[in-house]
Amino acid sequence: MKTPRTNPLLPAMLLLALCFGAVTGLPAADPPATPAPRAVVDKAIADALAILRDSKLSSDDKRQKINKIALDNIDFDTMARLCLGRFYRGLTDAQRAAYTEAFKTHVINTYRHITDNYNNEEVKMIGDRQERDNDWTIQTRIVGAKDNKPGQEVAKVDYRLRSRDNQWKIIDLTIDGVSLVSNFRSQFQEIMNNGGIDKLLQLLREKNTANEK
Amino acid sequence: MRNDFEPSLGNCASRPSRDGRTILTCSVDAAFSQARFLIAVATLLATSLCGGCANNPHDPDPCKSVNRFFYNVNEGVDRVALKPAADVYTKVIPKPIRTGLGNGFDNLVYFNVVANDLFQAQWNQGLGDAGRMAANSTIGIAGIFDVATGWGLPAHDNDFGITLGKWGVAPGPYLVLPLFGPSTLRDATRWLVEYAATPTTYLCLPYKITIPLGAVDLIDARSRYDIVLRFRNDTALDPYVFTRDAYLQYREGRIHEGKPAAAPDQSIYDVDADTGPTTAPTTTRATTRPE
Repeated sequence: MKTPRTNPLLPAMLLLALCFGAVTGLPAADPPATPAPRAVVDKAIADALAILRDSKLSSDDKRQKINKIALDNIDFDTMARLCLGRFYRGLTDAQRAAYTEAFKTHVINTYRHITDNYNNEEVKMIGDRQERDNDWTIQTRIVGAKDNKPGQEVAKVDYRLRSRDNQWKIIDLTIDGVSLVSNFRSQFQEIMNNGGIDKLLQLLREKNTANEK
Repeated sequence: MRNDFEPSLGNCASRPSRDGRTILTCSVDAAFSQARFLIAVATLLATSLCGGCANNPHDPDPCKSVNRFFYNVNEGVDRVALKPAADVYTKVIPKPIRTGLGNGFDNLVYFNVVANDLFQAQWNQGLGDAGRMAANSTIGIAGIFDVATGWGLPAHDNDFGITLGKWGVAPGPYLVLPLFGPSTLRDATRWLVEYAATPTTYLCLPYKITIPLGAVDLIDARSRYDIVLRFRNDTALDPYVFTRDAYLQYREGRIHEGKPAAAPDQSIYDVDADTGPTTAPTTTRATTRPE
């Protein structure tokens, strides 16, 4: 085996590799230390905590900024579709659009509970795993801090992410073992079986009107 | 142990004491007859609840109509009595006192947590929880001050339903118990074991003490749940199904803690799966953990 020092081609290869890297914009051959989906969750959480802890913001400002983070990081089309399961296929395009929009508003509205109830909690990343279908699950723990149960686990929150158009976005949230998609799915099944899409849209819209007051 | 089967929920002090009986045997006696009474009621309820149930093994809620009935009863009681009482309680009683009361009630039933830690062979947690209970019961003055958390002995939550689940017992049908709320046939046993594992069960306390104490416990618990229930009321389109699904998923999660992705069913993440929600035995996919 030749030692690298005696290989006259080495400097040229290095140069080529550098140029190739620079031209294509690729980082060095090393894989990133954290998987991309984890970085997405990391950033979303860091941004959200910064907003929640900013004492200069009014609670309305906080809500709007938190909503923006949710809108940027959640794939509502996929989430809405998963929540409806097999019933999604039977819908017309107009029904799908109306349903997705109403669902999105509904989920965004529930984020109010985060801004209203935030009390110094911290978020710890505890792990990630790739699922069989190439989704990623990022596991976090919400932990009390300062005068609010310091160090005690408040909740387990898992984020499931899927890549679409080269962007990792959240498609499900699991809080203390309760998956948002699975929970909505059970409810929507019951509603679809008893009143169909019109009933579901009516209930979503009623909820949205009530929650926006 | 007495042989008569007497639905006695009264205190044993009112009974004529017998020769040679210590207070403890008297109390255990009373506790046993109360427990037998509760078991009889629970069995009766369970059989009457599930008498006309559908027999679909994939349906987690075969007693839906009876469950919905009791769900509405419980919601009604909550609306007219519990929630108003909890709101007043939160408004009138300062937070430090509420925290102290809550700690005290938690500590009172904490032996149940220790016992179930041990049933599940969680020796370290069991030891920690026993230490926690000992520290809070003494230095923490009957559990009012939670000194143990500061010493690295945080509170855990455990019960006999989780024990049975870890032993491999299936949940059985979902049940909404009057006043106790969401449960399953398996999880309903938790109340009996908690009752047997609570020191006050054996103390022969008079009604004058147990009823107000129980009421404050209930109201305190309701006030602590308020945040969750407000979330549910804003989020749920069908609150009954929301509660059922959340309860079943949460309990499954607790039983399979530490094992990757036992729940939820992975087929729900397949946009092309043409399966019905919640029951999709043919397309269930296991997940792998590459780490």
